[in-house]
Amino acid sequence: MVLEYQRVIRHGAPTDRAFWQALFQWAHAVPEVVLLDPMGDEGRIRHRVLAETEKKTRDGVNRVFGALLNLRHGSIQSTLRGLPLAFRPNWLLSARHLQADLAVPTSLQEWSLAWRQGGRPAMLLTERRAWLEEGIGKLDSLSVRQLYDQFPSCSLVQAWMVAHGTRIPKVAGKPRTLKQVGAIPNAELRRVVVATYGLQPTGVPLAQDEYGALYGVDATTKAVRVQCPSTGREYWLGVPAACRTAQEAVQWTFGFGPAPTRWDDRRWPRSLGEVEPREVTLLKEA
Amino acid sequence: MSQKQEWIRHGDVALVRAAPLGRPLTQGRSLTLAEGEVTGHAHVLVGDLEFDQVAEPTFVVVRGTAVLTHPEHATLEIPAGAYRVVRQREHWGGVQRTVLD
Repeated sequence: MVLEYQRVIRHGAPTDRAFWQALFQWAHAVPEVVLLDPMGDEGRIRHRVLAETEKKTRDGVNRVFGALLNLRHGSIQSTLRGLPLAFRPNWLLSARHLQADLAVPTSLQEWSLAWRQGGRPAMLLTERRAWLEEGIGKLDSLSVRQLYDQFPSCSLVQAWMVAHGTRIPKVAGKPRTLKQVGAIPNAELRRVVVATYGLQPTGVPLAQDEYGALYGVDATTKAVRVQCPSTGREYWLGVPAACRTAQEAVQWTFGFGPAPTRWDDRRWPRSLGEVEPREVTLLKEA
Repeated sequence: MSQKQEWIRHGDVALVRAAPLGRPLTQGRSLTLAEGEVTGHAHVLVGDLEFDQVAEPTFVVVRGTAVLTHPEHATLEIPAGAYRVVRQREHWGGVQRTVLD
């Protein structure tokens, strides 16, 4: 079936009401915008998700949404099957320019990936901001080619999300406490969850220096808030309660300083962690 | 007893100056020190190297110079010498684990 649309938004189910309002206001004002429910694997459209989405959008928002729904009826649905599989690297290169061309509000840009299909602009809007937070600006032809090689079994869009963002799980009860955050085993995932859902007020840090800020968690654990020197991203790392400063905490994470209360990872070189604090010189970092 | 310890940090991986192991090592031009779990990004040391051939390298000798690369971190030049490869660790609720990204 021939592709009839000019501008397509594939959206998910973000829960933020302000986001939905911004989306609908913009989409309603732009002619020939088609708002679609999320596609599943291999580009199939899942109606179930759309039904959930409708429940979340009520009162003022729903009035706009109804008009948009009319646009997605008919051939659009079948036309879009397998759409991501038809991606070509060069379509992604002008993503930022295309967003400007579509007059996408800033608040929506970070959720979206734009491309050209058959000379026509289209846009993908994900349900998870974290997937795309690394930014379209980082995408270049080299990385796209690498994605083709690296993820042969999935669509390029899926691969791009995997490589350039972090998929975050649905989290109940937000914002989260430091202890809850610490239960997320992957530090990158933890960072994205904190960036997305926020963190309950942590109070005044117990200590603060050029290495970061140290906070209390419970009787056995403190948490150090650190910033990556290369990316500027902020991470929360747990350390033993015996750590007194952020410097001591960061050095402990690299094996210098007091021993932890219990060894869980037997691969860890014990000779590094179970010695007295010593003079430690950081030669360089990135 | 206090002893001087020099180290180089690259994200969640560190190279800590160490004494040579005194046993034969595998020679190579490239060594992946750590791979990201969700990001898929890796810290890769490239140069004239000798290392212990294990799934997660713990020791490497740099002959001449080498560079340590990662898609999201600045590339660092690593001077010649012997290093212990240290993965960053953390500690939550009395349990220690390796930092994963």
